Amino acid sequence: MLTALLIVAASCTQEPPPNPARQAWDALQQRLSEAQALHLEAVVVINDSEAPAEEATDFRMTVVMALAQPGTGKAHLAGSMTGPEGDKEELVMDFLGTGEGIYYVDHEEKLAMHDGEAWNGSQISFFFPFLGDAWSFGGLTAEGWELLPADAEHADWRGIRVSGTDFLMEAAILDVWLDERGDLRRASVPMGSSSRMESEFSRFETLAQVDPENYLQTLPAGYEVVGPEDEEQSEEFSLDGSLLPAGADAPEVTLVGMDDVAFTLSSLRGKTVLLNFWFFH
Amino acid sequence: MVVLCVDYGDEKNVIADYWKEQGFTMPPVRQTESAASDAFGVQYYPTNYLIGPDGKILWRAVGWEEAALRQALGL
Repeated sequence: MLTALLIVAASCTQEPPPNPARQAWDALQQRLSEAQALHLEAVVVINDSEAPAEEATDFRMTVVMALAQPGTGKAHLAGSMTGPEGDKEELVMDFLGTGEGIYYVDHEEKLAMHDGEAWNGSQISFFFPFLGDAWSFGGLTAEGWELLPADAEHADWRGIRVSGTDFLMEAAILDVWLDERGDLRRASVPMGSSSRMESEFSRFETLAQVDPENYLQTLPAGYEVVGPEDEEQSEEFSLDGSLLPAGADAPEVTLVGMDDVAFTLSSLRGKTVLLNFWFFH
Repeated sequence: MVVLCVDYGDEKNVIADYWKEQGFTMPPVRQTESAASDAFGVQYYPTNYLIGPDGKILWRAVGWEEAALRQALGL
């Protein structure tokens, strides 16, 4: 299955010093914000470069079509991914959100795989339209941007580092840089992990005035977008709509420790409790 | 403050291995199927709830918003 990649939903809060990579980044961002759609062809190779050879993972992901509409908060993406075993997996994903970050949601209802197999579970991701495939478990809060000088190993890397925190991954670093050919490349190194994932984006162009429905008709045969976009639902979509409100009594639940001893939440009365709901799978 | 990481759906050994690998110090706890997640209306992960000593919900949010959490804690 897809390895969780990165996420960025950031805004720059400090005026950075002039930097070619940063300027290129800004220019591309501007193009994206002006466009009604983004078409990109990207080959994303994920190399677990620090893992032993027998454990190395080499995924190749080709994004054949992507449509992002920052203004409407809609994006669609289709592509294929070939894993280390050579098995090809094809996918179509729908996104909802805002132009700054797009949440990949509810794919049980919105996503059907080429072979008809549905994905299980729910996942929240930020989708950074420009990067095409940037997604991750949970939410990543970008804390800042940092301009990176070229290093000795990769003299052509002029990087931008986006740092942030993610409860599951604790922290993640994303480097984006232009290589000597002027192509955009990206690497990410989740903190606490030995994996370094590198991506190369082969082509991208922005398209103006694209009708989403017509654009989606270019999907390869066999893909199925499950269910039409529901405008009303999109506007009312809320991540925390199902949560209990502040001020309400916490419900009584029974939890089980790693020592297999069960206890009730109310047994902790008198203490401040932070409940972090998470999963790993 | 008690910090509990309430797992949803992972095997015990998976949780243990991940905790060991990450070196987390806060305790992981499990729930029966999705009983706790359902009771708290959790649909997306991670979701965090801050509960006061009186058992009332002080704050909750989807994702990890450290600044908001600090504010809720009065830090």
